Amino acid sequence: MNVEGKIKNILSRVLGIDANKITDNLNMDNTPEWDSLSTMLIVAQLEDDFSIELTVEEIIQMSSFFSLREIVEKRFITES
Amino acid sequence: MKANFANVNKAVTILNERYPTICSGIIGDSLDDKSLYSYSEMVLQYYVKYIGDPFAQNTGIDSFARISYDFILLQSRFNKLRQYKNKSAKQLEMELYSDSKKMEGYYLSGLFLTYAFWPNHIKILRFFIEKFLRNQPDICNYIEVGVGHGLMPLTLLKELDNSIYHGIDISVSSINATKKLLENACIHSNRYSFELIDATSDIVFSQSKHLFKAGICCEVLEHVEDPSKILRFLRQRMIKNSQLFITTVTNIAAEDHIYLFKNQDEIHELFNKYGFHVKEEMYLPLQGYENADYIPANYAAILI
Repeated sequence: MNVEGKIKNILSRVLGIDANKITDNLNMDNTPEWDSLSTMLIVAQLEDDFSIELTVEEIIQMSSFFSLREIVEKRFITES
Repeated sequence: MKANFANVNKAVTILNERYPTICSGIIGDSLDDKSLYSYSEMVLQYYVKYIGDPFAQNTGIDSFARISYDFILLQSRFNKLRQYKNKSAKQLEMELYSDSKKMEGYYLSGLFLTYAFWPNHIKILRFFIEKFLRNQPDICNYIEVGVGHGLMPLTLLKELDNSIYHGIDISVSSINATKKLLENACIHSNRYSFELIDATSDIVFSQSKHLFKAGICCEVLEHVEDPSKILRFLRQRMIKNSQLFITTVTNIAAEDHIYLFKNQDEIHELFNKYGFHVKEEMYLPLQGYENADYIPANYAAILI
């Protein structure tokens, strides 16, 4: 599964929404289930599924599906 | 939100704009206990009057956000591992408490403002003022272990005109920041004094001569390798039957948390070991964990 697919699965599990309905438009403002507690769960899953350690600066940026994808994809580019 | 809490209103608006992730966990319209707004406003007014502009970039609000995001990251890892990062007190002193850039940068001001925005901290501040300070003798000398950001001595010295305060901390930055805070608040210098010492150090006891009528120890026990030494220190310095206001946490992660209390019983056990008994206490689980098999919670107590 690619990065996008994995992140959709994480968001689906944590936020309880259909992965097929997750688009780049999904963000904290239009998703009431996405709060600080959910962010903790998302962080934990991202770190586990991608074997990365996120930084505080990256978590500050994490407010949408698009930004999550950017953060993770950037990691793989940096590390390759 | 009420119209007369101008600073709270402004702060929440800015936090929503700059840092939406953390806004679900802070004071806001959804807060059930509206009386907490007055304490939130008080803390922000203190910041405005005695520290600086909390809304300027890279200070105040931004520092608080940094503390909050640190918490999100570290708590997410703690929730998996159920243990704190394995740091020693020596490491912490070197990496944080002796680092004036970090301490005077985001750490102290960010922590100060957690008492304006985190509901549990605001409740603890209210408990401190209404149940502890207002029940102390009119003329009283206080000892505090862990001066930190200085909010407790500031509140104490403003609330009780005849109180005298002696603060102990391991960090020069904490002591300097608190001194500056009290100076800016026009608290007379003959009402406060400080000692730069490690209260867990055995060498301290040979120097102690004063006996204090009340003690304060907020957010210290979880920051040391052996919290029993802190309680021993306070027991030795306080008059018998005097009251101690103390706070700590169970299962809450932070950059500088070393000692893990897993539940309230472990905290009580420590108190009992040094002859402290709970007069009144608050146990405040974080939202969302009330039914978990381990509970991240803030804890505060008045001990005698």
